[in-house]
Amino acid sequence: MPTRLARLARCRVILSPEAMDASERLLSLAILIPAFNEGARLDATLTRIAGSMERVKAHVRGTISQVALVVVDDGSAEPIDVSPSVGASGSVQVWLLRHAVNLGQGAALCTATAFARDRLASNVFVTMDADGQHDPSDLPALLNALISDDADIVFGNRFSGNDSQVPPLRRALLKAATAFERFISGLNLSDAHNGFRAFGVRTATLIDFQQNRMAHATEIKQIVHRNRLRYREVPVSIHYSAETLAKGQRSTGSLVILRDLLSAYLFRA
Amino acid sequence: MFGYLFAAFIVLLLLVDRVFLPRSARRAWTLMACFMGVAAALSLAPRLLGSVSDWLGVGRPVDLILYLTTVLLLREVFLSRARSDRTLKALTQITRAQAISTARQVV
Repeated sequence: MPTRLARLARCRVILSPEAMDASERLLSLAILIPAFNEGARLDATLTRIAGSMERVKAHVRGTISQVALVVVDDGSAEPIDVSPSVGASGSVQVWLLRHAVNLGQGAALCTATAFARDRLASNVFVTMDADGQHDPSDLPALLNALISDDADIVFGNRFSGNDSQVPPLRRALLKAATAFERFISGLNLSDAHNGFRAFGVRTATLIDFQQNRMAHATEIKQIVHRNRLRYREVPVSIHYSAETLAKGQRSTGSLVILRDLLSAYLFRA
Repeated sequence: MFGYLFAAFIVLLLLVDRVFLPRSARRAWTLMACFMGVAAALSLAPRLLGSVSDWLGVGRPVDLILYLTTVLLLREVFLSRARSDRTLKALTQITRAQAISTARQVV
């Protein structure tokens, strides 16, 4: 397995502003999708993402040489199987990994990142939810901010998008969480827990979450702050279905996140 | 009267645990039986505990038990949490390595 330094050196040649301008950048894109009991929704989400790739490639400032959808089945009750029709467009690879036990979304993202970084040699990573709430047409905005602004990580912001459908109660809860996270992480972000993010290799080498579950979204901001990573925020859309809302985080989830953060602080390795 | 009932209850619990615990837990059962035996004996001789708490300067015998139990339980909670944290980290690493080694390209 290549060392972190070797990985960084390889990708600096590809992505460094000094080496080439934006139009010449070769991007090996990995879209990381943690999945747990998603059922038929997952195939629909993957098909939608795969189908949007030609449009994404046309709008990204750089050349996407490879697109891989990396799905991590986080110990679903019924093992996930991806329909071959997902790749009918022929523009993407789809990889499926499976956790033998349910560990949490943070752990699944960590697994997907490690796989894409070390096995697929990806140099651009995007995290998306498996339930289709994130819109693939927002990918160019995320990727262009990563490339053009020379950012290490770009966060999607649900609260300034044109087509956001965040329910009022959830919006209020997320606003409170955002204020708390500004205090904890020191980052000035408008959206606390959006799973739609893009980051480069430098950030990918630093992702080794201690938090297996939802508190990883706070931990990633602590990683950004601790390592002085360059971050940006771009507007993205969110589309909730009745199923998504029913399955999504409960309000008490914020208490669980606080508990996990305190536990990590007390029992830090 | 309460002392006899409480002691009988403890003996009954110990006998049930002895039957249903696996063989590997027999030594642990023995240690637990010692502690429970002390509790049963104290319930049969409540004045003994009163003498001890008076000597220590604790107001009531039950306060003495409460202080000791609270400290020991809290300590056990934190130690258990630290142990389970380490176990979870190991489980995560193993699960991740297995998932990556068995990754398959489906499309």
